[in-house]
Amino acid sequence: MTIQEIFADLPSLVTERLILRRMSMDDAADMFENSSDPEMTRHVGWEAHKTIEDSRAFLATVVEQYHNGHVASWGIEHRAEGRLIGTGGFVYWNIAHARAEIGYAIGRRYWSQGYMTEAVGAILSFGFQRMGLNRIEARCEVENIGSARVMEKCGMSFEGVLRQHMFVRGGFRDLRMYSILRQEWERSQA
Amino acid sequence: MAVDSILAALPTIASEGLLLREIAPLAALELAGRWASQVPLMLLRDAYLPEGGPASAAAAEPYATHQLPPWGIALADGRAIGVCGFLEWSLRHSRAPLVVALEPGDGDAYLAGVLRTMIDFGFRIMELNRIEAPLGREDAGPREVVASMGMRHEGTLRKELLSDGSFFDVELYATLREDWRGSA
Repeated sequence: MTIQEIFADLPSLVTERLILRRMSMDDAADMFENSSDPEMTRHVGWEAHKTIEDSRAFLATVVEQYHNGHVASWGIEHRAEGRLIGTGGFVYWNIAHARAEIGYAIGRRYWSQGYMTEAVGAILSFGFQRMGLNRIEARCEVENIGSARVMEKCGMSFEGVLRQHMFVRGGFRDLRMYSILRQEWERSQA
Repeated sequence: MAVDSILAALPTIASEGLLLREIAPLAALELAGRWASQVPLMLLRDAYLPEGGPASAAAAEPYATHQLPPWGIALADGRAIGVCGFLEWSLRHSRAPLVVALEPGDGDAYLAGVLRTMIDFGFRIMELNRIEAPLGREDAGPREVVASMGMRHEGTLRKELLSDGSFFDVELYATLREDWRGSA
């Protein structure tokens, strides 16, 4: 298995309320609405989008990643509303060690309703079933209680705080590291 | 020292009765293969084997890192006692992990000196903000030494590394620039 084999033809994942699908330039308006919200981007590892051009630039990068078969995220579409409400997926895959990291972000309007937990559950299933992973990890800033809760609800275990691990938004940030192992995920599915 | 000059030519360091001089990655791996315990050896292989390192992973731009060549560690009489190196230098996040592999027995006595030299180089020359020391659960001795250097155990990364069909935990230690300044 190669990274390209999986990501050159990234399939959609369907859950009860969501579709995780490839993003396109047509998603620019919805993406900008989510990603320009300073509250939504307060604890993410990237700068809030200031103009729709920022969103278009991000989408252009993602489309190129799909084209090249590189590791890339899904867009998260609300099935009933038919619009993009966030992004989620794998941001790093180390095939040699069968581990990968996930990242995700969702519009503030959709917080506290289980959407992110639902999406992450689908992402974890894809990682263990299709990518053959043994370890999936995720990190969030220590102040990002909501993100930590999603990780815990998805069965991830807290491993420690990596102090000043990332430089983002002008400062060094402490990150909480979480992970779930294949054997733990399989037990949860039984 | 500018980043470019460090990347272009790894400096030779004489410190603590030791000489750290750049050696070829494959030579470092050959030495480490004799002496290193599992986790440091896997990390060195990831960094320096042709099929390892960045080619075995696919990362988004924020994770782009530079790789420094390894140092060979020698005593004043020229005897080689180990290898060490900073792997995966992230300029954006100003951090790097260090790995050390020393000849068992006599070599262990020099671990503290090697670490002090590397930590000083990392903070003073590379201007890092964070230096990590990933170790294995079986590295009890080295773990005591890194802890005595003021490195803090931040957590266990479970089944982080795979070798010969077995997964290994990484005990992650780290020290920050502000800690180093505080001890100067």
